[in-house]
Amino acid sequence: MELRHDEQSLEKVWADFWSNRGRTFLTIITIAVGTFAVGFNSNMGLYMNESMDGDYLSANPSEGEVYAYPLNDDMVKMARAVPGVDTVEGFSSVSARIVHTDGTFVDVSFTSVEDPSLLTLNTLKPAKGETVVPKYGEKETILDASALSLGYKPGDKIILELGDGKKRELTLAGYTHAVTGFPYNLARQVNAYVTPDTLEWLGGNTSNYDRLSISVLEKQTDQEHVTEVAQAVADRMERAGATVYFVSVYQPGHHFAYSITQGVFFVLNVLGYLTVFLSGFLIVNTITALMTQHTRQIGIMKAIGGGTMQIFSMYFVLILSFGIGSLLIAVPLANAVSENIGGGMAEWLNFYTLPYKGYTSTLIQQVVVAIVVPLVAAIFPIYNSVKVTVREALSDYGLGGNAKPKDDSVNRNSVLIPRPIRISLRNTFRRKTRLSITLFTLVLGGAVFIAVYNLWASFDKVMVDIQGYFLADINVAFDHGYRFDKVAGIAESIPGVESAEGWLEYPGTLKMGDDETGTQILFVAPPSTSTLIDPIISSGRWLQPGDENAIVIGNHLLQIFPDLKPGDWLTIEANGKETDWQIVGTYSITGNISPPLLYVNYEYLSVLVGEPEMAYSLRIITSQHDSATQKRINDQIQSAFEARGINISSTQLGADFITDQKAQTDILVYFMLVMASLIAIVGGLGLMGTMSINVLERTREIGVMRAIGASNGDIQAIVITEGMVIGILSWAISILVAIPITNVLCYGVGVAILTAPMPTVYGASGIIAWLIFTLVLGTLASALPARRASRLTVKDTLAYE
Amino acid sequence: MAISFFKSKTEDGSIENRPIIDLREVNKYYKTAVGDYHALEGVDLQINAGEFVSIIGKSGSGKTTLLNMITGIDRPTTGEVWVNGTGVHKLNENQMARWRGKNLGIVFQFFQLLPMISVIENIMLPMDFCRTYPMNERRKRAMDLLELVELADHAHKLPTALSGGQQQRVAIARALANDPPVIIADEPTGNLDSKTAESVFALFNDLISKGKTIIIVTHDSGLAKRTHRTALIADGEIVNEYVAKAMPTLTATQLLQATKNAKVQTYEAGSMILSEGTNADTFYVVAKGTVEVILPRPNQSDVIALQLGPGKCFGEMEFFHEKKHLASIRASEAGPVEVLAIGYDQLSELLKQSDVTREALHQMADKHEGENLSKRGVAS
Repeated sequence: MELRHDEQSLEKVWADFWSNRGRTFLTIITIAVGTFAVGFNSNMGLYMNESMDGDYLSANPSEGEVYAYPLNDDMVKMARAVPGVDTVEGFSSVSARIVHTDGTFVDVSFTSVEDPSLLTLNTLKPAKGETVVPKYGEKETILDASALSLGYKPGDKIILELGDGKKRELTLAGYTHAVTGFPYNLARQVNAYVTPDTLEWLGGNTSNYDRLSISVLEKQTDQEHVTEVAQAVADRMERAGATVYFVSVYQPGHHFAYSITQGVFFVLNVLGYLTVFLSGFLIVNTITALMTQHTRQIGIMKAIGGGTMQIFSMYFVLILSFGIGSLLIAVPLANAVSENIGGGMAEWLNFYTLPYKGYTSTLIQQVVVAIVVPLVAAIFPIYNSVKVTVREALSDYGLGGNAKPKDDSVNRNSVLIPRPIRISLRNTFRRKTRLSITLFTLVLGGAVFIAVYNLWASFDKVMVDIQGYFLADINVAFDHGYRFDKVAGIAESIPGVESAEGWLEYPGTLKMGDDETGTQILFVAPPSTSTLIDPIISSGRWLQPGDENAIVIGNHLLQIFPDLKPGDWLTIEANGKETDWQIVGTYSITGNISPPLLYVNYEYLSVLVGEPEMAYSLRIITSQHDSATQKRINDQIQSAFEARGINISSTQLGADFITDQKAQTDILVYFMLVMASLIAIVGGLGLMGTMSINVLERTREIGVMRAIGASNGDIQAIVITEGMVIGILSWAISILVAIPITNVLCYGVGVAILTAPMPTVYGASGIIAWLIFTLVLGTLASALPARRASRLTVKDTLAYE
Repeated sequence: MAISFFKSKTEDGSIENRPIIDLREVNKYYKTAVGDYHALEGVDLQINAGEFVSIIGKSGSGKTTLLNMITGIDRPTTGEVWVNGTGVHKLNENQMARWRGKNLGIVFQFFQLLPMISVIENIMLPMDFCRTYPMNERRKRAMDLLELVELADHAHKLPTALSGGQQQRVAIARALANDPPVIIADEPTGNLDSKTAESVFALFNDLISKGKTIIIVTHDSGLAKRTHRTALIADGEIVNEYVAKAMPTLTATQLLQATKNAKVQTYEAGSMILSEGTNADTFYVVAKGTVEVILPRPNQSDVIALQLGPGKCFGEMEFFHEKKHLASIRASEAGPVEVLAIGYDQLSELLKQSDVTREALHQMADKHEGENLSKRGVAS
C-alpha cells in the first residue's frame, strides 16, 4: 500500500478531525479565542477611529476656542486676519438649568445659531435616524442628541430656570448631532441651540459674542501650532479691548475621545496579541498531545510504506483544517462583536459610526493567527512524532514513562499527605515542559487579570485623590462674585448645613521669560483655614494662614514649565495687574485640566483683584453626607438663593462627583477585564488541554489504579487535585508577575487617558478574584478530563487482545 | 518467612472443596463491523479455593477474555460469574473497582507499577483506595509484603530503578496488599528470563501453600503442567481437561471436537458400567471418581486388574481389536463415577486427523491387552 494525497489520506485526516470531536472542538476553540481577540481589537480600533474621524471631521471642527468678552463682528474679522487662521466664528451663549419633571435640575448651555445650515465651523448634523437638522423658531430649541436620555420628545415643553431665577418655557423642536461638543452623559451639561432672539429672551446677549471658535490653516493636529495661533487671536482680541478669560486647545483636529480611545486600543491590542501568544503555546501543547496519541498510528503507517513527508503533510492538512474551523468561528464573531460594542462605545462618546464593512487588514491578521501560527507551532511536534521509528512507535507497553531512574530514592517522610494526593502532586511535575507552558499561560492570564484589577483600584485612588480637592458636600458656583457673608448666611440658615466656605476662582496670565502673550491660568483661592481641600503635595508645602504671595502650582503647569520648583518666583497678570508670587509647593492631580489651576490664599487674592469678602463659589458641608441628603439640601439652597436673587451658574454634589467620574473610568476597566477574561479563558482552555493530555497519557495508569481498587471518586480526586495544584501554583506566581504589569498599565493608561502616570495601587481584590477564578477554572478545566478518566474501564486501558 | 499477615483460609490449611470461582454458561460476543465475534461460548468453569489453575490456549483463543470475566474487567453477554460469593456480573464499574481491590490481586504481564511513586507506596496504594487496613498499619504491612518478595531493601526506590523480575515481584506484593483470596496473573512470567520466571513461580507456590487461589494465563505449557489444573481454551470454548489428559497429542481444535462429542454418563458407586463379552461401540474417559477393571478368574473370585482415575480412558482395546468387551468395568465402591463417552465412529473420525494420537492409543491398547491376558493367566 502506498500512501498518497489521495482519497484515503483525506479520509484519514477527516477521521482524525471528526472521530475525537471533543479534542477537535478544544483545539478549534483554543485557536479561535486568539483569532477572535486579535480580530476584535483590530476591528474595534479601525472601526472606531474611522467612524470617529469620519463623523468628527465632517462637522468641520474648530481646533481652538478663545473665551473673551465682549466680542463683535469686527473683532471676528480681525481674528480671521491673524496669520495662520483659516476661519473664525463668534458665538454667544447663555447657561440655564432645565427643571426636570421630577424637580431636579440639569445644566444646559444655549448657543445662539440663527440657521444651523449656515454654520461653517462645528456644524450640526442630523440626529441618528433623521435626515435633516430640525428647524427651530422663536421660543424653540434643539438639543444635542446625547441628551436623549432625559426623555424629552419633539413638541415637549422644557421648563428652564435662568441665572437670575426667572422661569422660561421652550418647545423642543427636535434633536441634532453636535459631534464636536462634549456629550451630556460625560459633561453633565446639555448643549442646546436657539435663535438669537430666543437667546436674548433667555437672558443672553447677542450683540456681543463671548467665544471664538478658530480653525487654523495648516497643521491642524499640532497642539503647539494651534495653541500659538489661538493665543495670537486672544492677544489680538485683548488689544482690541476684550477681556480674554482663557484659551482652550484640546486635542486639535481630533474628537475629544481620541486620546482615550487610542490608549484603550493600545492596551487592548497588547492584551489581544498576548492572547494570541498564549494561544500559540496552547496550540503547541494540543498538537503535541495529538501527536502523542497518534504515535502508534504513525508507526503503523510507516510500517506499511508511509513516507515521512507524506505523513507530515497529512498532519499539516489536519492542523490547517483546525485553523479554518477557527477562522469560520472567530471572523464573523469578531465582526459582530466589534460592530455592536463599537456602536455602543461610539454612542457613549458622542459620534456616529459608519456602516460596518469589515477590514482586510484585520482579516489578514486573523488568517495569520488562525492558520500560520498553528502551522508554525505544529512543525516541531509533528516533526518529532513523524521521525519516531516504527519500533519506537509500536513498542509501547507498561508504565515506565516520565520517571527518571536516577530518581531512585524518593522522600520517605511525606507521610502527612494522603497518597492519592501525593500522586496528584507528583503527576503535576512529571511533564515539566508541558507544566511550564500551562503555567506560563495561566500566570500571564492571571497577572494581567490582577493588573487590570489593580488598574481599577488605581483609577479609584485617582478619584479619591481628585476628590481631595473637592471635599465639600455641595459646590455652588455663582455667575459672579457675591458677598461671602451674605451667601454663607443664606446657606447656613438651611437645616442640615454645618458650614460653608467662600472660594474665589479668578483667571490670570502667567508671564514667563520672553513670551509676551503668556500662559492662561486659573487662580483657585480657598480660605487659608479651609478644611475642604486635601491636596496631594509632591514637593514643598501647602498654603498656610498668613501666606500672602505664596502659590502652589500643579503638575499641569509643570508639564508646560518642567523646571519650576518651590522657591521660584512667578509673574502673573490678573485684573490688569502683574503680581509676583513665590512657589511654596507643588501639588499633583490626575486628569485633563486646562487651564492649569494655581492655588493661592483667598484672603490675599480677593484683595489683590479688588473683590475682598466676595465669593465666586460656596463650598458647603452638610451634617449627613449621603447622596439623598446632599440632593435635598441642594434643592433647598437653590430655592433660598433664588428667593434672594442670587444667580447660581452650576451646582455639584460631592456624592455624584465620584459616581460620575467612576462611570467614565469603569467602562475602560470593563473593557480590559473582558480582555483579561479572554486571556483567562485561554489559560483555562490550556489547563483543560493539559489535563486532557495528562489523562490521555496516563490512561493505563488509571486502569491500573482501577484494577487495584480505585473508585470513580478516587480517580476524579487525583485528576482534579492535579488541576487545582497547577491553578494555585499559577495563582501564586501571578501575584508577583502582576506587579510589573500593573506598573506598565498604570503608567501607559495614565499617560494616554489622564496625561500623567497614575499612582499604582496593589489591591487584594484582584488577587482574591483571580484565586476564585483559578479555583473555579481549575475545577472546571479538570472536571471534564477527570470525568472521562473515571469512566475509563480497566478493559479500555489495559486491553491485551 | 513471616506469614502472619495472611488470613487463614481453612482450619487445616487444605484445599477447600467449594468453588471460589464459578462461571456458569458464560457467553461473550463482541460486535464488529463484520458481525458478532464470539469470544467465549457457553463456558462453565469451577475453581475451588486453594487451587492453582492455569489457563492456556493460543493467541486469540479467548483466554484473556475468560480472565477478564473473572476479574470483572469485562462482562459476560450472557451467563453468570461468581467470585468468592459475589455475582461479579451484577456490579457496576465503580462497585467493581472497590470489590476487585479487596477480593482480587491482579498481576500484569508488564508489571504496571505506577512510575511516579515509590515501590512501597505502590504497595500501600490498594490499601489506601480500599481502606482495608488502618492508616498506621499500612506501611508495616507493605514492608512485610516486600520482605515476602525479598525486596525490602528497595522499598523507597522508584519502580523504574528495579529490574523486570524485581518489578514483577513488587507487582505480586501489591496484588497481595489487601490480602485477597484470589490472585489473577496474566502472563506473569511472559516478560521475564527463565531464572526470574522460576523465582516468581516459586513465589506463587508459596502463596498456594498459604491458602491463596491463583489463576494464571500462560503460553508456557511447561509452566501450566506445574499447576494443579489446566484449563485449555480453544475458539472461545473450554476443552474438557480429562479429554485433554487422555489424548494429549490432539490439537486444541481436535480436543474441542472430542469435548463436544463426549457424552457425560454417571454411575453410582459399585454399579457396573459395562460387562465383558458384550458388544463394544464406545470409548470412555474418566472425569470423576475411580473405575475398576475386573477380570474373571476360573473358580476364583473376580480380580480388580486395574483402577483408573480422572483423565484415564478405557474401551480403546476393543476399538483396535475385537469389538467385544474384554473385561468388565464398574464404578469403585469409593464413590460415584462420571465418565465421558465418545462413540467409535466419532473416535475414528478424530484419529483420522491425528496419526500420533492413533498410534499412542494403539500402543496403549496393545499394552492393555497384554496385561489383560497376563492377568487371566493366558500366554500372549
